[in-house]
Amino acid sequence: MRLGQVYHIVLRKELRELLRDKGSLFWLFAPPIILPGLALCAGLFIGAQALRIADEGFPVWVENGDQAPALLDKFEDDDATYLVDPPSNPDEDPFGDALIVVRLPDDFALQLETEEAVAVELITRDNAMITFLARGAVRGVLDRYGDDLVDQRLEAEGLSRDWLNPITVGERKQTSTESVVGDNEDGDSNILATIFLPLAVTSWLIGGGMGLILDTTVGEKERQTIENLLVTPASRAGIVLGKLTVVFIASLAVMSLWMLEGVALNALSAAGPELMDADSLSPTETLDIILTSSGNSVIALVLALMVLIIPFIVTLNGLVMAWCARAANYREANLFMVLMQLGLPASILLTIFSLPTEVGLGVYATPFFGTIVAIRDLFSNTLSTTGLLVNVISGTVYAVLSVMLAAWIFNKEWSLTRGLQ
Amino acid sequence: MIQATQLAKRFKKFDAVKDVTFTAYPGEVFGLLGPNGAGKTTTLRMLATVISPTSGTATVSGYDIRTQKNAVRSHLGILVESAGLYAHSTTREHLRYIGNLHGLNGNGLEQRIDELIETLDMIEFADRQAQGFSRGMVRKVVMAMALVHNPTNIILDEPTQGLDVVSTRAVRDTIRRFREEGRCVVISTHHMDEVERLCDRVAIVHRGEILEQGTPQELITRYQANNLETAFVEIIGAQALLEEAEREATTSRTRKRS
Repeated sequence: MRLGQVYHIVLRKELRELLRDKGSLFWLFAPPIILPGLALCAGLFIGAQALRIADEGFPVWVENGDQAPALLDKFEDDDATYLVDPPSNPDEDPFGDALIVVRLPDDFALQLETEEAVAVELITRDNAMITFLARGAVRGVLDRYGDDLVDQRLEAEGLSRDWLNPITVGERKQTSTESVVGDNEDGDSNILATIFLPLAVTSWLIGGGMGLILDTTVGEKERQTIENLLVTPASRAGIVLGKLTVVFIASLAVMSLWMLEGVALNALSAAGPELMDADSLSPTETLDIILTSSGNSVIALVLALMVLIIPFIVTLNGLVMAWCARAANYREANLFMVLMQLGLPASILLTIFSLPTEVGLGVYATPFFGTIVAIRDLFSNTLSTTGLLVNVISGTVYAVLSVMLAAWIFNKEWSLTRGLQ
Repeated sequence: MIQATQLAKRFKKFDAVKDVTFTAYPGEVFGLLGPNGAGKTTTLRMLATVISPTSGTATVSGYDIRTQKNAVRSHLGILVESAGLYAHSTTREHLRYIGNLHGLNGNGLEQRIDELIETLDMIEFADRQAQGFSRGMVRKVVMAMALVHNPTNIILDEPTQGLDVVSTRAVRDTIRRFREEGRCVVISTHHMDEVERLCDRVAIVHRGEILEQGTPQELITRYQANNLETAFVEIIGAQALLEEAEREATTSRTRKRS
């Protein structure tokens, strides 16, 4: 039978099995759907808390507040805080209506006059999120009060505030003119974008790509279905290609979901300030702000990322399938999976942090690491079109070689008969 | 016709099959009878081209198992002893899948699938996914998968293993029908009654070698036994004595030398 025919038959059957297997589908798509949902819930919760603060503020009681009327004014003026009366019985209930208590020493005014460092105590009742936020707001008021005191002291000595800050630091990003994604003068959004790298690669690991390969190769041995296949005149290469394509489709779908969410997050973070400032926006205007604020080329970024990642996925899938085709059972196959799951993220981090920011074109052509470096450089806007091409061409060669290796091993008696009962 | 000539298979240092020679003719049920670990399944796997022989060869319908594997696969159906199914495919989809892989499709294949479903009494679970099938149901589906391309040669490895009485009887009836249809059937088993009921000729396999072959009646007569089981034990026992004598001779030779 011709390879193409076998490929289509196996692809159809494996896709059908996957689409009917609710458990596998759940574990494939649950992480990219549920985790961002959870993150959204957390964001909404924090947002709701922030709104509550904006409306009411945190109740604060300043013990010995009569020692520092200016501090009390600051707490009253601040939007995030408001002062409450002291508790009726401080010994039994030190908080009363307050969420946080600021305890000033009895001789606070005197210590300030003698220019000593005064110790102020913040008392909280728990570690809840709201308390955490209140603590931040109270610290902010105290810091501003401290700044005012510094200004007064400097003025008394005839010094300006600049005397305390002799150096000011400004930042600017020099974007490569050759960058495949184009200019991004602002560049701030790319800091968030670096999450793509671990996400894109590890999502392949946790996203079930490996599990699917396991199921379509070692699973055939464990279920004792492999011999039914081997006694047909079907091309073994066609069988491998059909199985790999299903795994590839699933991996790509999961990774695309992750990437789209990453891009959306990246774009939203960049467009956030502008969106907050706007009064009312239509969906089209909102999308326009998001697309223009997140650098000039979200689409170019996603396309470049996809082009880099596709050969990478095929290579990884091919290698895992080669191993799994040889493994006698799930236990043996899982040993390799554990190594991959530990080794892959570790080598990604090593590659990102150990290689210099500017690398030669040859680095992009190295198997595996070349793609990691290319993705890193893509997000730091230093990947040139030549670099991208070198990586894609070499990546495609490695992908073809890994698939050939998988097909070769799948065709060998010593691999197929391991684990047969 | 299936013709094996001095088939041998070595796994690392272990000779699973040493010397297997037999011929199974069309319209005949040929049995490979032997204890567990005798090399029956390895022999059948070599005939089905799942594994290659270390030496010797065999032909299936005249096609060499070493050099014409695809032709052999097209003319042979094999029921593997412990074969399983895909959990999320129905009986019909299993048959279609294997039929497609044999190059069959269209109305011809669908008719063949319907025919097998009816013949093997699988109508009740023809469109059910295989998850939760009983052992008997699985055996029937796997047997149908072996027959979907209408092979002239059929190999059945322990065909009634794990089946209940009703299913066993159905499988045996099917095997008899294969013979009536003029197919060449080779079955491997360690059940004497199955051999006596089904097989026209039988080969006794022990430790990778064929010790005796003939009709069940010939073996019973040759070993002056009451039944095939007694003859089988005689054959295996005689072989064991022979092996022990050989071992002793080798040990005494070694002692004399030292």
